[in-house]
Amino acid sequence: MRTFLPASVLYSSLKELSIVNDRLVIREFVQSLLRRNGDEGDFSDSEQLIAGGRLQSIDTVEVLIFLEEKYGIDFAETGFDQDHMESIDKIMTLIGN
Amino acid sequence: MKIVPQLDTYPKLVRFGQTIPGKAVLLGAFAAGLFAVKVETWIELTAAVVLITYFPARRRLLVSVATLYWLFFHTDWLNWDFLRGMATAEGQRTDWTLTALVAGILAVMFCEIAVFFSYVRARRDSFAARRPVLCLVTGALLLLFVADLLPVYGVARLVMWSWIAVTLPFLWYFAYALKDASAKTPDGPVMQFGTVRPFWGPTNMPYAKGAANLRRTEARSPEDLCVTQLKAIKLLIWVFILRIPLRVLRVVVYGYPSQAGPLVRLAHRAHLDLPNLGIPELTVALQQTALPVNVAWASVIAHFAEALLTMTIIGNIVIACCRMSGFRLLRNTYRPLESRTVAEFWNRYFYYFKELLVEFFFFPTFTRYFKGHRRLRTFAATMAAATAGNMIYHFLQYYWFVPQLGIWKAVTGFKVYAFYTTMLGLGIGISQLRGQGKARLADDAHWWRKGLATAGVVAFFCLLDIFDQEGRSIGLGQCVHFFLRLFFIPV
Repeated sequence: MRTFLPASVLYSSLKELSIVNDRLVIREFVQSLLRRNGDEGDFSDSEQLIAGGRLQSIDTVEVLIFLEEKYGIDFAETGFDQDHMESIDKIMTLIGN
Repeated sequence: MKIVPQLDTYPKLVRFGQTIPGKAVLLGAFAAGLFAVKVETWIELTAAVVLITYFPARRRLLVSVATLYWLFFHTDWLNWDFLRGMATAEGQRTDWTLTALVAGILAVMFCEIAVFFSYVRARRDSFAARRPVLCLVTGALLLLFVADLLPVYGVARLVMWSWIAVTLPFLWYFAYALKDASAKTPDGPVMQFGTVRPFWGPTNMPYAKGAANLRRTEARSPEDLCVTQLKAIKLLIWVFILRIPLRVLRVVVYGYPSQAGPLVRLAHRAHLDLPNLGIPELTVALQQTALPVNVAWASVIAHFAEALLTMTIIGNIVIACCRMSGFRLLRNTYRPLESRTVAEFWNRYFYYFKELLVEFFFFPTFTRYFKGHRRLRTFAATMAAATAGNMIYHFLQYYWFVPQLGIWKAVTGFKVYAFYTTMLGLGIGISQLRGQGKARLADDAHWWRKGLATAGVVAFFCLLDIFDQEGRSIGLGQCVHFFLRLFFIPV
């Protein structure tokens, strides 16, 4: 007998998968920015990249454009704060909102 | 090899610094450092930092208390000469009544800003809540214009200009506070107060930015605090070292014997005087029409070197005090001579001023205008920050030119600085567009490539500094004339 996953479980699994995927994509993007600045070091998802001096304002601009283009976030509407781009976790919260 | 030992990376020292005697040693080193670099308020600063170090759980509250102390006992943040001059000109008294007026204005100002803060928190959709900084800056500019144009005299005029003189030095601190008001969990009024002209750097420039930055960078553990404090000591050692070339420059290049240290004075007694090149300072050189070209170049280069050293020293002292208080703040000036582009230099030279312009001018423009045109968007936002924002900041900082000269002359006399900021904006904008998407010139690139890039950047800022005249005494013609003569172009 075939068993089907309930739609809600399937939906939440897909959503989880999408979140994991988003996190990886953003990590990869931030990593590329760091590499461009000659920073090959690793970083955790909670690491403060701007306050720690690893990302500059101009890098924040790149992240901002990336989020606008990929996720359609309109910062003119939501208001922009560099603090929201401080770490991968914070960017994920921003996307989630 | 590092000139300053990397104290914060020595595990034994970090462990020792977390003990009570270790903390005492660190605080002693901090006090000695401040004394050595001639910070007049070293005793009070050390006292504040001692309390903060031994009561880390009350850190933010103690910062507010120390800030309150500084507000009342270090009143040089206010242009008292201007206020007394205004009071005299309006036939008013300059004794305690003027002080009482200032105290009254301070009280009203803080109440008003608290109300505005609460309004921004409560009515997040209102225009004032979405654009509090725009409201603040527009209000300040309007106030200046109105104060000059309104035909009021006597007490009314004195009150109006006293209000301006008292409130404007707080403007950008309030901007950060209002920005924090829209955060999810902002600090309350008491904690916010500690971020307004805080005791570690009571200048018009918010070095530590606002409450959000303090929350973000606050040391979370005794080890974190110790490492941060060791970094503060490192900064003070660096300041001590940098004061030597600054002194040499002032004594040898400009020929100021009063700037000489005890060793130079001792050498003078033994008739072993240092050479005196007698190069005029840039502001003096700009007013001389028959200055030899080599002397003019020397003046430009010396001015750049002096500005760089002074900026590093002042910024490092302020950040050292912040770090001793337990906030892991970035340095204000960080290896500017390693910059390979104009934009990079701007980021490394005066970090907190750049951050102010980026937060309050660059991002608001960038997120709102020319969204379909990536390059134009970046360029417009850069011009909004480095040119318009920079001009507004300095126009408001030197407000006293408005009553002195009248609004029209104060605005038109600002054209030299307007030219400077326009060139700066263009330079940074072009530099950013050229560098967009490209990798930074690697540290292991050929030395001549790095050297050439840095030399180009230094040359740009050296020459641009000729036009960095915030006062109204030097005209644009004088600056252009001087600039052209550097290249043997007759005018």
